[in-house]
Amino acid sequence: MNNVNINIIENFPTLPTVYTAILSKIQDPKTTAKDISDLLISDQATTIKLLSLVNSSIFSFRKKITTISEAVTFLGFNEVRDTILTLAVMNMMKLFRYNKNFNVIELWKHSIAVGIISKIIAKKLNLENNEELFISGILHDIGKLALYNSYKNTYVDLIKNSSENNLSLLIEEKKMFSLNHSEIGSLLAKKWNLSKVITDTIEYHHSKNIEQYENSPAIACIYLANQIANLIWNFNTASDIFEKPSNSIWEILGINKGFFNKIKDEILITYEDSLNILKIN
Amino acid sequence: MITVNLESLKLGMVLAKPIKNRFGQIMLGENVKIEEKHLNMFKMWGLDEFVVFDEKDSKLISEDKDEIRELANNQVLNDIFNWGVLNELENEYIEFIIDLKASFIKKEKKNE
Repeated sequence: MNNVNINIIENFPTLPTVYTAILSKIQDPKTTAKDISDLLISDQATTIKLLSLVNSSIFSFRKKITTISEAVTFLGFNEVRDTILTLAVMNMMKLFRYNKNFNVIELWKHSIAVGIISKIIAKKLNLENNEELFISGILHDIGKLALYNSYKNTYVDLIKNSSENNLSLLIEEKKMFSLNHSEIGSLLAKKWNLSKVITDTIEYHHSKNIEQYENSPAIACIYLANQIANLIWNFNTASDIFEKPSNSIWEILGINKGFFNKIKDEILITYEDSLNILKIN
Repeated sequence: MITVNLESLKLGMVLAKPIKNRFGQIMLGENVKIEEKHLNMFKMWGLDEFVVFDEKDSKLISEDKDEIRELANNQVLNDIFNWGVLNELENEYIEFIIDLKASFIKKEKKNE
């Protein structure tokens, strides 16, 4: 990693202390559910948001969860951690909301869309690591935010230029910054000590020949969710966006005829619900 | 529904079946209302058989649904212009996207 890239990572906002505290607690085998709840209760803003998120259609628990300790029991340590991370990412995006030239609202909506679509696909297909795919979707384009944070209008112009002239965003990024947004995002995820599933999905979400990777079902899931979100909402029109998924994507995921009809309604309901709960304005 | 040739296809008629090219690829989905630009396209593609709704079916189609679905349909087709032949699963994938896109456009209109 050269100096320029180190700077992109170092300049990026850090994760909140509540997240890092939870992370170290979880790594300690002696930690109990009560330890985690006590830690969360000390951060009231997070507590309130966590509860509304847990009671939303994203999680679709049958029972209403009213206390933090219930939430910790129902979700488990790892999902509590990832949910806190989701909220932290929303707060980071919030920091950029007054930057006129960079449409952070668009990126925010897109990240949520990919998060919920991949969660729904993964759950329906019963993929391994399916509980990590919501946060993977939320984070998949975090490299774009990091590039904007360091390069501001240079990056805005690059996005505009590649979409207007039908150029590949990834290639243009690589020419200008020597790494593309997927690579930057995965460096950031590694710095944050996120799991290999998450770093891999971020790094390879635009890759060809996904079958070669260790976490290929998770990567294929984020890839597909990203494609679906782009086609539905036209988030980005740079030329590498609208691809026909190759047969290997269907094979890796085990998607057969009839699958898409089963997830349509859930996407429709969950997306709007998520935007309301994860608001950044 | 009735089958018509290009000559008898009139503006405002609504497709009852999607139009496919010779590779079986869907060029225009069902429920699309025929406009001038479509007639030119069909001429260019050399198509001469269209299944459209006739008056008996017309009560089945709500005006609002048509317009929005057509919009969604055209946008998606524009985006996937060079995808080539679609198999059954891919067709279902595209239909799913058009459906969701139309539903979200409708929701947005309601919220306005």
